[in-house]
Amino acid sequence: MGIISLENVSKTYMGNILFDSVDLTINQGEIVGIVGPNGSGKSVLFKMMCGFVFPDEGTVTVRNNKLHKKNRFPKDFGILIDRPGYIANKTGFENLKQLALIQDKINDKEIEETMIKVGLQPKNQQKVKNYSLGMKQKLAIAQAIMENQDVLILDEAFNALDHDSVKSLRNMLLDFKKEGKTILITSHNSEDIDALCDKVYRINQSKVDLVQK
Amino acid sequence: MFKQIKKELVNALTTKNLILFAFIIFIVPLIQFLTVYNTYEFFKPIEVFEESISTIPAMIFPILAVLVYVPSFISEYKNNFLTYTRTRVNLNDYLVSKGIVNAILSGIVLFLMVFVTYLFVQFIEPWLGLVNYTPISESTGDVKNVFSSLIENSPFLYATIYAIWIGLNAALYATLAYILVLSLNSIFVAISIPFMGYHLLNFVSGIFQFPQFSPLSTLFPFNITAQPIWTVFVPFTVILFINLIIYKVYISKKEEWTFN
Repeated sequence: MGIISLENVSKTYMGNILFDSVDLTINQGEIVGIVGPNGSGKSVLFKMMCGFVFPDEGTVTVRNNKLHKKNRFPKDFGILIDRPGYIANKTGFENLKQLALIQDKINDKEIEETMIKVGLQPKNQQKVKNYSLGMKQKLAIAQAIMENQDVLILDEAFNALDHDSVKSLRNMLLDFKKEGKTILITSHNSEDIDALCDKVYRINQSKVDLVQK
Repeated sequence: MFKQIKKELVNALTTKNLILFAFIIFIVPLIQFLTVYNTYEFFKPIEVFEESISTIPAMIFPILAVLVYVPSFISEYKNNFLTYTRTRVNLNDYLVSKGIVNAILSGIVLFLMVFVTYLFVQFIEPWLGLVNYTPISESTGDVKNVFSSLIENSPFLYATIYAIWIGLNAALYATLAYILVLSLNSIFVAISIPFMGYHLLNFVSGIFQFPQFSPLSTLFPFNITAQPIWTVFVPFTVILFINLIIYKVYISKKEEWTFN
């Protein structure tokens, strides 16, 4: 059994049948790409893996634990789903600090190091509401990786990033893979998928098919 | 959960919030005090105290209660920030902790607004000598309100119990706003409802000749003749039930949360 498994999962979301009896296994240490047209259910698939939404039928298992209403909280997941989330009137550092304080696993220095790693300046006093889209994206990536999360689920993580940042993020993800982290990504840019992924699955007519190995 | 509540309480004590709390506790009643201290005839400090928390604080009471913590929560709610708390803490625990902190802080700040005003009027103002008290004569009548029996025992006890009552109601109104933010699509509507409801109930109870049941008269009962104590619990209970119904109908049954 992989680190994340979907067994016979069906899901209808907002009236659309997104998944119909889907089986999918994600193994530890892989970079897996999920591709599919807009609205095909990539984000919903990720949300089911995180326990944010539940399948209508079937089971989602993370590290041998079935996700259900009383166990909807897989540990050590770093995510970027839908779009960045932030408190507009706080600085980037303050945003990350507020998230870090929840588990209290890392200190200020580690937050600053993560910010530098993704290309943000920790001492920048600019409020996030004044950040560019790319900076907000970098902030979202920073919160996903800052606590050395074991599984990274990154939905369109390359959006709005400049060429150098894309290159740097790709290298970072490959380094994470070497460390044994499991990474799931979506990207509209096939170059990102080709450069990074060990496996690629396509969501097609409510099924998830392996298209590249 | 207790740990999370403690964290949220500490997080809420930012410089910006402390300035806001200080404004509510000191400045709002001070503005009201400055408008009344030399324009009315006062016989006792307790009357100055009652006038200092009437009118302005009374009219904007729900706004003050909601202002304490709900805007901080909205800033997390509005821009998808809550999504990224969900991999770090159980969302239910997080939202319940926020709700409890909202009630606690609103209650404490509004309690202090009333209690500090009492301490000022009773102990500091006589030293400053701003108010000219008219000597009490045999012809001076006592104006009583629903809490007046306490004044006869001890003005301090009266102020303390009355401040607790205001704090409890502040927690109730702040909780109403909080659960409405979680339930409705429009944040503006959600935070407006406690204020609109407060004044709508005042209006309706006035129209139907039951001013003793208006939220204004049960919270600031200084312009209405003394009523039985149970009357003050009527609007309190109504709002408590509204909170419980909204929670039961919209929140407790919600299986999947999406934040916009």
